[in-house]
Amino acid sequence: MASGGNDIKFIAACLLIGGGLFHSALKRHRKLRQVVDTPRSKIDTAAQGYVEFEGFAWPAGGTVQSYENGEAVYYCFELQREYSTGSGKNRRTEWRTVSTFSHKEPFYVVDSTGVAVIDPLQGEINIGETRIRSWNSIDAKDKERILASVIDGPVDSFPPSTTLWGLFASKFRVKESELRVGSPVYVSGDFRTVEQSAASITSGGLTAFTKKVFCGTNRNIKEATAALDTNRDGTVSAEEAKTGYAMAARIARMNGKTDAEESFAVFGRLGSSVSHQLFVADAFESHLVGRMKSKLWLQFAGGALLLAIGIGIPVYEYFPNVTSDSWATEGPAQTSLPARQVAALNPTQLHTDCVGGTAAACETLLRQSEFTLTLEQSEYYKKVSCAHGNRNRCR
Amino acid sequence: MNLFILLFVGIVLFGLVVMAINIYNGLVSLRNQLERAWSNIDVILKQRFDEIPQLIQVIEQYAGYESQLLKSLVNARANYGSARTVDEKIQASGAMSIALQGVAAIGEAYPELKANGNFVQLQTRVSQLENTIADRRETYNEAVANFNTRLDQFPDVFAARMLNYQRQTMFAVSEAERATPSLKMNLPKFGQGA
Repeated sequence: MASGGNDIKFIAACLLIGGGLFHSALKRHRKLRQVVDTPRSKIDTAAQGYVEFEGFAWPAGGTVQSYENGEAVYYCFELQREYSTGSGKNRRTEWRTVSTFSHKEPFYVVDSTGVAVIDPLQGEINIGETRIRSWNSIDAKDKERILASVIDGPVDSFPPSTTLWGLFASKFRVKESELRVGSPVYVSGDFRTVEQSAASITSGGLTAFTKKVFCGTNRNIKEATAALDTNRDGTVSAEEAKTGYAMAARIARMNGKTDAEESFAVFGRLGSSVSHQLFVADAFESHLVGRMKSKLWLQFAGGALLLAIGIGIPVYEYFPNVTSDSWATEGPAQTSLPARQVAALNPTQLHTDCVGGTAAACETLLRQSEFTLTLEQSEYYKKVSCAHGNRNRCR
Repeated sequence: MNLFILLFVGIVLFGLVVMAINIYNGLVSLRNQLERAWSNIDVILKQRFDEIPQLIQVIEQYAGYESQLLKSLVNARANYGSARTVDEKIQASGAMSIALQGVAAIGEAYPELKANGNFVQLQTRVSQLENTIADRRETYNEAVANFNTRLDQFPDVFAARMLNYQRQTMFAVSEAERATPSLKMNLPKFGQGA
């Protein structure tokens, strides 16, 4: 390994990236354990404190129009523009956010027993997929929706010019994530009950939707693999569940304007506490667990490996006696001075001893001043060390 | 070569330490979840226990103190009152549920009792409590299943033995509870009441 500033940068990068990866994997694993270990409660009989619910998202107030005219209870949008810096081989491009929009109003989670209020501003929202699309690939209807209701205020060079097929226009892309009405949700957090008499809701389509998705007798979600499994692989994926239930909610809401609606009791509010943060995911628990497990061990291994490299290289460089092959075959060679002596010596003294014939002084000098010696100086001391009998330096 | 051995040993040691901390914390957290889930049921069982004297008072006016239903209610309540461990409470709670099944049926046998406002109110309240117990029982059983699974899993099994954690019993429905309430078994003879 060549010595110098690049080494330090490499080691620092390994430690930083490895540490970051490992920490994030550990955090993800802890969250995964929490999701798996927490028993699920029903909304109407949930105890106060930390609970988890599984149900469907339903609007408490307004919704926002999202992709393909879907209604979303939670929506995040970013408009990004491509910027270039440098030229030739040094040319680099990066996406910078130029406009944002978000809809994070409280919404309901509905299970077979009742309704609870969720305030997304209080917690962490885990949306499985962030949709990224280039502006040019978006159809005209969707562009119209974005321009009319999502982008707030004028944005420089936007929308991009279409003159000369847009060859010289700036490049834009959009990033969207959403939680649609009727989408399956997993929520965990601090549950506080509300006064029963003060809380009941009537919402267009909710009666029809609950009848469609919940089983009246055992108060569980109806088995609907046949209806939801669109690719006929025998299992319902998270995406299929989201699309299917959102579609059911859409139909129920369209018919809900004419159907007689029942009222639903709101049993409480789920939020964050000092010990538990509100967590909302756009999937059932089984799908969420699968998502959280995905590539987790790879992340762990990658982080640990980078950390080990970041720690191993300095160890190898500073303690060659421990790490060199000669340790195993010949035992520890006297190639550096004992620590007590090193502390007492200065580089000038070491140089004098090295030139005077003490190989150990040359080695100590090489180790101590590794990052300050020039290549020529380093080579010189290595040659002297070799000449004084340190065979490792004769290679 | 030695560098790689050192790296390997380092990674393995680091991984083992992280895993040990993780397993320990995980088991402690599960144990707390379980205790909390049980406490949440216990609160409701206590509420049901407290409703029984009032229920007995109302039924007594119509069915008489000597009725078999009242005896079984009094016994079940006494058993629950003396239960200390979770297992004992689960058993006593089952007996109390069986005794309470007869309360619904006695209303059919005594039209005057069925028309009594207090009885109706108490019956509704007990029924609500039974529903809550059923739901919380599901939550408790899930916590027990999670706990027992982790106790049997490798390598958690070693940590569990060191912590002396034992498998827990599910709050299951007994055969007697599952059976339809029998009028013959629970009700006093007609005409015996006040």
